[in-house]
Amino acid sequence: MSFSAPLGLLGLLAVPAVLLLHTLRRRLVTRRVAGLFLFAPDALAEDAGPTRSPLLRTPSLWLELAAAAALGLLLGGPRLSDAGRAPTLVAVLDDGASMAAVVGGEAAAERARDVVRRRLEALPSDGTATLLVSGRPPETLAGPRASRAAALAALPSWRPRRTAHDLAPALDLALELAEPGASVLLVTDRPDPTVPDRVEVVAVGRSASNAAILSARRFPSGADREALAVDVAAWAEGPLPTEVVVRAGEDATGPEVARATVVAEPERPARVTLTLARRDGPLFVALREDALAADGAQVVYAEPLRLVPYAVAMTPPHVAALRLERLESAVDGLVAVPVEEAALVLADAEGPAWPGTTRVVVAPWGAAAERDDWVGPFLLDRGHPLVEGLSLEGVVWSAGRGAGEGRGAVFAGTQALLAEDARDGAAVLRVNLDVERSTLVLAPDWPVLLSNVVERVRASLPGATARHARVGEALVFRSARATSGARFVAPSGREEPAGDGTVLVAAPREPGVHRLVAGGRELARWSVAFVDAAESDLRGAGTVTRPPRRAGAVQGEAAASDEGASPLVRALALAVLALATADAWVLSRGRRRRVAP
Amino acid sequence: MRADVLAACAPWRLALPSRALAGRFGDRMGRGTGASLEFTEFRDYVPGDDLRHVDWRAYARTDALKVRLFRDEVAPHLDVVLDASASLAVTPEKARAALDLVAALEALAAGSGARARVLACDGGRLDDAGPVAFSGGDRGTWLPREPLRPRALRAIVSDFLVADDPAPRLRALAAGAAHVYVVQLLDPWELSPDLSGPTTLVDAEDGAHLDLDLAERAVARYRDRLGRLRDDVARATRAVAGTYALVAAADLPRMLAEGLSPQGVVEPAR
Repeated sequence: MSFSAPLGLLGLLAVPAVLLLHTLRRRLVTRRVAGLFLFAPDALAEDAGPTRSPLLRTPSLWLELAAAAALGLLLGGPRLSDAGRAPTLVAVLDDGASMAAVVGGEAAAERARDVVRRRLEALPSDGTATLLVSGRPPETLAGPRASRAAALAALPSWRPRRTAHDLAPALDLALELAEPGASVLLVTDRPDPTVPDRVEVVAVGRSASNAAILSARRFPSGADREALAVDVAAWAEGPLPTEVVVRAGEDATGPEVARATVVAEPERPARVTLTLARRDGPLFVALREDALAADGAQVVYAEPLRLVPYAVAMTPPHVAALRLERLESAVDGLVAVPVEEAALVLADAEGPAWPGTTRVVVAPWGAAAERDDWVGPFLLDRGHPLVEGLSLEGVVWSAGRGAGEGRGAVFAGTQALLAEDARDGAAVLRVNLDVERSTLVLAPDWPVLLSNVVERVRASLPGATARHARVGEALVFRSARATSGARFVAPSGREEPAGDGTVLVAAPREPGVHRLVAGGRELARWSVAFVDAAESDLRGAGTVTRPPRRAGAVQGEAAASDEGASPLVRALALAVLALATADAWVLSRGRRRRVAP
Repeated sequence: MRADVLAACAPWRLALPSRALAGRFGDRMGRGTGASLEFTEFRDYVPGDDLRHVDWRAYARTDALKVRLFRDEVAPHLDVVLDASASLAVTPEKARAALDLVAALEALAAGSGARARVLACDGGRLDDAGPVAFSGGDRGTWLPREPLRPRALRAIVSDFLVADDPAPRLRALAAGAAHVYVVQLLDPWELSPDLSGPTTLVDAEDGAHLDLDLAERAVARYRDRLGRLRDDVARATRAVAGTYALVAAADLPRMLAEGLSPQGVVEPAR
């Protein structure tokens, strides 16, 4: 009895149902665990257990149990010998992206499909198959124990796409699902995988040289030009010339913009830099005649600097003393707005700070008459991002003697000179500085500090923090208010709920253009690149057929005839009928006795 | 700082990497030049230099103002990232052990003159937010909401009982760190489940149920899978040049002596 006869299993459910009706309840020991998934594969085999509740062993119980068991056997299609069992196949397809490599005009994945298709077609019409796709966790393409037709129909939908991973979880699952007589097959492109004894290996790879795009970046180059820098790596026995083709748009159908030849050597990536007319739209960068499309093409978006809305809430003398009138020319990507709309407020006094905003207060702390002029040594908390690049060499820093709230980042002796306070989603940066007596504003440290503040604010602005990522890296989207119902949509169409909150994060599993949508509206778009040396290196691919070291079954078992089943089926049908009648008679007798005076 | 934690940590100190660190002034040699007594080189005087370091003998000979540079002394930062999901509190012993480990790491950092922060995976700071509420499941990247400090030490305390590959998460958590300690904390029952027979297992995070017979065969296969998971975490830690330690939940002195010390996270204080 197995999944190959679902009706039989369904019929057998009558047995525990009868027991359930005849007992109070099953009581199992309950235990909370953290790693339930580590036990999960045992559930089918280990499920159930002896009940400790007392059973009333009435004739009706025995009759009903016997009837239920006979019904299960009847529906399961009983056979008198093993020769009648329909053969089964459990196949594991290596889902590494290298399986999509096209060498000699044909992809390894296509050859893998042919292998599995031939095995499926060799099964008899009532044969069943389970198709698994490797990965962590492995996925089911067809089955468990799908019909031959269903498995054949599911096969074309397989598209290998993953980064390098261990095949063991998929093989473990395959062995769990395989009955003692079933064949277990692994189709991969590497000729020497480590597999359990019972697994047959068919490797369909072909060794080849391959080039891959490690990175592609755009940056401005003059008023109306931009530069595109493409790093190309090679996995080959010697220098590998390849052509980089750039098209407008997000795929290979757009008009060609530029092309260049680059020669990459093993272990030494090569860079080609192309100067193009500046455009706002995306560019599709691909290697021409590349063996593996996944690592040889990327979409590159123009990534304009995100503008930081800022406001200055200071008296004019302070603005002049701090040279803030030149702030926009000193730091890129700033736009002046009213205070209530600003993400960054530069002030000379404490004031309200709204969630999501940063207020920089430049004023000496404590009583007006108490000032110390510090010439060093200054202690800088190098772990604090706001002091990155500060040296304070030659600076005279005049500060008040008061204590400021927040975490100190710059000190002179025990006196904090710069402190940051984060509260209720707002950040307040307090600079303990008497501008009139200090030389900080004249030193290169001042624009560096302001730039650090602006970049910190820029990173927390709503929107996607970056538009390019690699497979496995996080796609991060920040929104000003909590978003609900948003979904990350992968290039294959697979959707994943983004959760609720102001920071939405996904880890992409496939290369291409990923989108974040909510309420029918696109919120953000990312280009995800495939960078994985283990999958890009096709030199280790090969072709081999290796039978199982310990055979579980012979593939393509002869189809069975149903001839031996008929008398047994008839006998079981009669038994079910007789047992049900007897049970009805026993129950009706009991009922008559109970109603008798 | 709890007195029992301080007492338990007194014989130990963090086993720091030999690689250069960044951080506050302290007793470890840093990457840059600074104010220690270890002389490194000369350079020309610039306004603002400490006049005590000017080499007056050289000035007398050459009329050139030179200052002597000394190695910087730093105390490393330590960011402790705690997996505060419900699975860490699957038993009171495991939750207590997790908090003890975090407190011990803070105490060991303080013993080195360093400042430690405790952050929650996918969450904010824990050290000033009151008691830790172990709740929810494992989602996202595990990166705390606050940025991790570059070139600082990092310690990750989790049971890593998640079905996904731990490598991408560990890579992200270790990015830019001077060194990363990965502490995999498991309850003794998780390391060696007893043969309790028919049992209903309830997932601590999502409440999913699983009925099974905890017999010898099922437990052996569980151990096999747990071993593979443990190997995956150790391999991912090695890939980021970190230090991996598997610790069974117990009282703190025992975890330090039998868990963290043999696996190179702490070493005897001299």
